[in-house]
Amino acid sequence: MTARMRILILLARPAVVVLFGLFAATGVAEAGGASRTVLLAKALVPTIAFLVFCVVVNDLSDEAIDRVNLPGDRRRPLAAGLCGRRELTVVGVTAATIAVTASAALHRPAVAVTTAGLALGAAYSLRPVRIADRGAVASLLLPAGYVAVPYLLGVMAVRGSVTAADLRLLGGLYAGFIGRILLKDFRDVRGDALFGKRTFLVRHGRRATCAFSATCWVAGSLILAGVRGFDAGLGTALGVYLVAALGLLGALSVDGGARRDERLISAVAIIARGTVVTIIAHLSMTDAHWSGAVQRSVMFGLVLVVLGPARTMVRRGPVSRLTVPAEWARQAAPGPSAVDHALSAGRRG
Amino acid sequence: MTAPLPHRGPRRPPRVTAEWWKVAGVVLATAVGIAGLVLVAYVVVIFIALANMGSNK
Repeated sequence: MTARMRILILLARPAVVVLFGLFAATGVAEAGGASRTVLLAKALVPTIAFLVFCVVVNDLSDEAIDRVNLPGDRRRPLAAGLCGRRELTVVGVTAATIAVTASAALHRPAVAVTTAGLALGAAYSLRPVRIADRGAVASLLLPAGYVAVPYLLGVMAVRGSVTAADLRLLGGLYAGFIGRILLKDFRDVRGDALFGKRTFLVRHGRRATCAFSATCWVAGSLILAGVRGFDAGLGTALGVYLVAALGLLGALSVDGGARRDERLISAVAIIARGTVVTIIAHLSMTDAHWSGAVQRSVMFGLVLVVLGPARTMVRRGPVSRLTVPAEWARQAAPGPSAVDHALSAGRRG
Repeated sequence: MTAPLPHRGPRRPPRVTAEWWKVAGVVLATAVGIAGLVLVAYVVVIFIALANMGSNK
């Protein structure tokens, strides 16, 4: 039981769980429910179940590709041999059932949103549709589901209708997320090319991918300028994030090795998450009628909190939790050979 | 005279029952795992995103 739960947690990628949680929180804040945290909890149940379903379906369909791209990676339990296909199928069906059932506790349209999201998740990975193999279509549709479902569930935890302002904010988040999710193909490019998975990167190359990502970042930032209560503080924060992201994408457009790519892409992800957090903070402070000076101070602090780790990531890269114990390193290191002994004896003689 | 029937030994429980218990275990683990992830997401989002939330009072 514990092993299965551990596999589930690895499967769901905690960073993605937090990202989906942030999108749901954005929806709750946009609908004016930022101070009612119970609503966030209600929205998170179908959101997380939806995420688990999508990840399971993706892992089931990409098992062979993951064995090439991520051999032995425990975050891909099927490819790593930690669980079987039948077990993962049961997990997926259970997650889908929980998602639909839990969405029924929100306002009525939430069930339709969840069902549509599950259908999109299945169509993305499973044949005969398999949107994942369709290049640009995949790059446009997957972010739509990954952003819209948690965000709309957050809105529908507060009220049963969606306004034009809600859709405008969704559009800004969506455009930004497209720009970010294109970059995940850099890690998988070798296996994708081998198996004929024609991602945007495989089709168009590095420079075009970075250029398109940059375009999405600019478009997303411009759309976010129409968010409810937009002011100079939020505008400055979004502008700083945009400049930083464009700089990172410019660096990524030049091939400097896989490790450098990983550092840059991780830094872009930090800035993307920071953008979402900043939007939530802005909506919350607006609803709470905080003074302009205090809001600007908070925005300034958030920008520092986001750019600091992004800079560290670029310079040092992700911190590995795995270290080789010193004892193992000593045992593995080759001792002096017979040739070394002979040479040292010759020198003494 | 016919040969006596071979002794079959003690009856083993049907495999279907063992399979259903396994499926139930996976379902339960999935439900508990999702609940745990929801709790983690809730706590993290509360601390990260809503810590600077003001009060309407």
